[in-house]
Amino acid sequence: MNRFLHAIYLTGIFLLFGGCHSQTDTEHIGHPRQADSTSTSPSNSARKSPLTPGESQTLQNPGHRNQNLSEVTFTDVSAESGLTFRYYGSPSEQAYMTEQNAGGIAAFDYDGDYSPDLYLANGSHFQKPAHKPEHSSQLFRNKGGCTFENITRKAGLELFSFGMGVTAGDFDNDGFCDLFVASFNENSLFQNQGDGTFLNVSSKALPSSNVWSCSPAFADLDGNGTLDIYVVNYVDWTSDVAPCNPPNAPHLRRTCSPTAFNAAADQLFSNSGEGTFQEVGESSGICDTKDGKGLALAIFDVNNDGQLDIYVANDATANSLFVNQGGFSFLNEALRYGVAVSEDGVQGASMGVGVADFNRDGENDVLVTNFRNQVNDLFQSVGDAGFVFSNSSTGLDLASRSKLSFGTIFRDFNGDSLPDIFIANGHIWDLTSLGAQYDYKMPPSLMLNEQGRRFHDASSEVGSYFRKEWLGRSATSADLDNDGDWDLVVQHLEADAAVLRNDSSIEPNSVLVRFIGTSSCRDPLGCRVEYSRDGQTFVEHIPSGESFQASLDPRILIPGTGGPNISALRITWPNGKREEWENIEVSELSQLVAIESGNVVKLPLH
Amino acid sequence: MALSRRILAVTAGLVLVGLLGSISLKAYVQSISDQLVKQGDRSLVVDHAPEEAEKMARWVLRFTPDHHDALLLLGVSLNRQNRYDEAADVFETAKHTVDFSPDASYARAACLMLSGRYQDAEVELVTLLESVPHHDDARNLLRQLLEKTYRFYDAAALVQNRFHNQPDDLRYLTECLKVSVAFPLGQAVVPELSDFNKRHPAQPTVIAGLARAHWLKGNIAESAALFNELLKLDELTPGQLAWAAEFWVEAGDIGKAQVAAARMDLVAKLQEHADHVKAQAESARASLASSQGNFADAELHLTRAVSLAPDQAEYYLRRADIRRRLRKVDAAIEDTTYGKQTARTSEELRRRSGRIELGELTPEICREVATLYNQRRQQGSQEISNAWLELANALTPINY
Repeated sequence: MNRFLHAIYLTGIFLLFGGCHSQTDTEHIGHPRQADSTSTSPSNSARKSPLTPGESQTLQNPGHRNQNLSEVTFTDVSAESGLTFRYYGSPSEQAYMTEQNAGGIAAFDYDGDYSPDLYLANGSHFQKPAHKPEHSSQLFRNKGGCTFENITRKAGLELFSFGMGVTAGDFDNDGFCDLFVASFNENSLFQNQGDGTFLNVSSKALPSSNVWSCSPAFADLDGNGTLDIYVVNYVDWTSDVAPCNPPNAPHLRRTCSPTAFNAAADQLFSNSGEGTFQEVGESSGICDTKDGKGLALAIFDVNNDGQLDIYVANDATANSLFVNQGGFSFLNEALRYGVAVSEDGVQGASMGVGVADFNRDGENDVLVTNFRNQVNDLFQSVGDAGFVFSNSSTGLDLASRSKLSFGTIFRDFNGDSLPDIFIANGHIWDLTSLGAQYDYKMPPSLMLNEQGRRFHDASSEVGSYFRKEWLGRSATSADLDNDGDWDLVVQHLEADAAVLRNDSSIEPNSVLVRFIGTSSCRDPLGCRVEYSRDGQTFVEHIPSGESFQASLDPRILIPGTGGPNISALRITWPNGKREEWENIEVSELSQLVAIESGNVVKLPLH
Repeated sequence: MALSRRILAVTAGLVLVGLLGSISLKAYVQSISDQLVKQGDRSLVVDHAPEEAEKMARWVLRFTPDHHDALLLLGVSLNRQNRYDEAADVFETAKHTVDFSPDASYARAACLMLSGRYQDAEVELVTLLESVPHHDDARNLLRQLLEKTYRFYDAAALVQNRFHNQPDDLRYLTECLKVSVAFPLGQAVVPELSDFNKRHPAQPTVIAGLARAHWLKGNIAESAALFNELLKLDELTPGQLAWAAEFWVEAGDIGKAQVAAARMDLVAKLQEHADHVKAQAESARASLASSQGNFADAELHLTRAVSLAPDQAEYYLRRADIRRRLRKVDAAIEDTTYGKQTARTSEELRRRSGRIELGELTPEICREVATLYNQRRQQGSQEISNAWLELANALTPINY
């Protein structure tokens, strides 16, 4: 019988399983020093920092206003703001992949009142398609003081689609900001008519599209004076794909992983200047990267050659850096610049991108948000040699390891001229029934920059919103109340969008600057900006893309940390031309408009 | 009266004879039954003839339906014919023929798992373990069930809890440390290790493991206190000192990092260690050199780390960073490329995982995934590899 019992146990062993418009009431206060038409050679990929070695030593004396980093406060004003929005179509029993992204947010001035308005993309559902007014993507007009009015129908912007990313820019240079909405199998271009309404010109202006688009961005990539559109596409997926919940685990909610599908090639639409766009992706070289499963992008001048380059954050595949070779020709140099993979050589599941000069050395650095258990990557620029990892030295890896991060805003929230970090967190899979160690909703992160060396996790100190758990997705920043600091708007799944007013005390002479091109495109999105104040020079850029499926306020915020004089304000226009204005006196919270080959105009803030 | 006595005597005699006969018959039947069960066992095990064994068992059960061993034989023979549901029912019956049958209970759980009735199997195993907490086979089967149903953390915790009643057992400590390494985000393991550390202070393995667990969780203050405690101890390994050096570089205390690195150098010279420990020590030296702006030295240390552990992508990527700072861009690109290729197993794993998600869960894919995990050096990979191999085995048609 012993042998028999042994047989039973053998059985067990076999079981081993295993941006835009003119304004009255203005004051000319700055004068152009020069219109230095020094377009750099398109083939010059070497970095040329305009800062002198002495100027780049800002870390020794960063000019802090806030000695106490916890002075930053964000107040959740969603309820009283009049912005009521909840993403439609998620969650559903089917757990379709399209449900996991939620919709994007664009902060842009659609009516030319110099107050940022908001457009939020909405979703749909394959069995219960969006049809009610609240299912549409929504336009909220800024009435001032962080209050909004829903004018979607009045503006002709009703859109029922699986909305993903949104980008805003004046593609026809008429002074009124237009809108591009990326959706699953459908992209839409809305032309601002200048009378408070938009016209859907998609069928006329754009080639048809039936791919899953996530993040679009406007930028003048060929420097011809018109905004082109780069669209980041995700994977070849259809609603016919069977659900990917694990068998025998109906209590879980898990969407399919992108690893199971082929990448969908990104698209590049060249602006003809006559109201139409032509797809040039294939010929430009951006499609040479066959396996990019893109979710987010940032367009900025990586190598300071005066031409805009494109950084694409890909999910579970290597990230791409398309360096502009001129003439709509790009070369993926992510490996060369050291921004393709994570610190351990693994191709991260990247969701969001932020760009800022965090250590004030005159070079823009790149922050990429990743999946849970993959730390977020802070790529620190070391000039013409590319980028190095600064995750550990800045303390970001510890703060991000347990988070699945999406939208990120890499901007100065406390007015100390050092970019801070906001990150919207939240998992895509609900595995909570497997145990307490599986987080689904997660608190957002606010990391305050400590002298350009480390980031302090101030999440628990800056407001009640940050102490709650959310399924955070897209996020944008804008000075919604024009009080000289960056406010936040965040999209969630399974909860209303949040409007977070920055209530940090701000120095009285902070300045918001908007640049308007004349011979260049009217919205110089992505362009590099520098300003000198109080003997220090700072590098900024006008955001194009960034965050996740979002479009940020295109203005530059100059904190009032120094004296009343901005000694120099410089921009490199998309055609490579550099321009500088000198001695701009600012004694109060102001909004400046710097006009190409013209003056700097001061506008009242309201 | 005499007649009555005679009748009574005869009756008593008859009863006695009958009783004796009955006992004898029962013993006879029992004897035959046992013989048949043995014969069935032989058919099953030696002759690989489960059908014959089934016949034997059924024959016995016709006469003695409560014959426990016959029921077990029938259950196993049915199981061998892949008739898992029937077998599970038979084992259920067998459980009730005696006061308590752990064997029948365990066998039923195994059949339920094979028929995909995971919830029932889990109930059976949990019930069994409540009665026999030290039933290692049942605990192992439950762990496999938890892994099969994607509850990896629960599975690890179960193994860990195996020694709950012997919290001072070194095996318990080992399991705790395994959990802390394989599941750095697990909330449960830190208190477990902390308790152990209180009961058994000055244990370098425990303090280093706990310090690292806190570090990975972002509890810098706790981690710093533990690394301080660790450095007061004498017999530390280069690996433990390398952790301490890396931690202090990251925490910004270069002085302490230097102390840890110096001790690490000394210990490493005195002792022979595996290449990956030496590489870890070189990596810590590189971190320290880099934090002091000595990039040339950092490059040298990382070059040594790469040669000691050429399969670790992290060292290539870290050297690429240093080489960018030294403006050796081409070399940096080369390192990044190598690092990406070295981490290729991750891509392969994802690709295969993707196929599995689309329903291609085959033994071959599971074995490929197991092999890929096996090639990785990260701690915990071996256990994951084993789990995939087990899954592959479970998906393979069973021929007994």
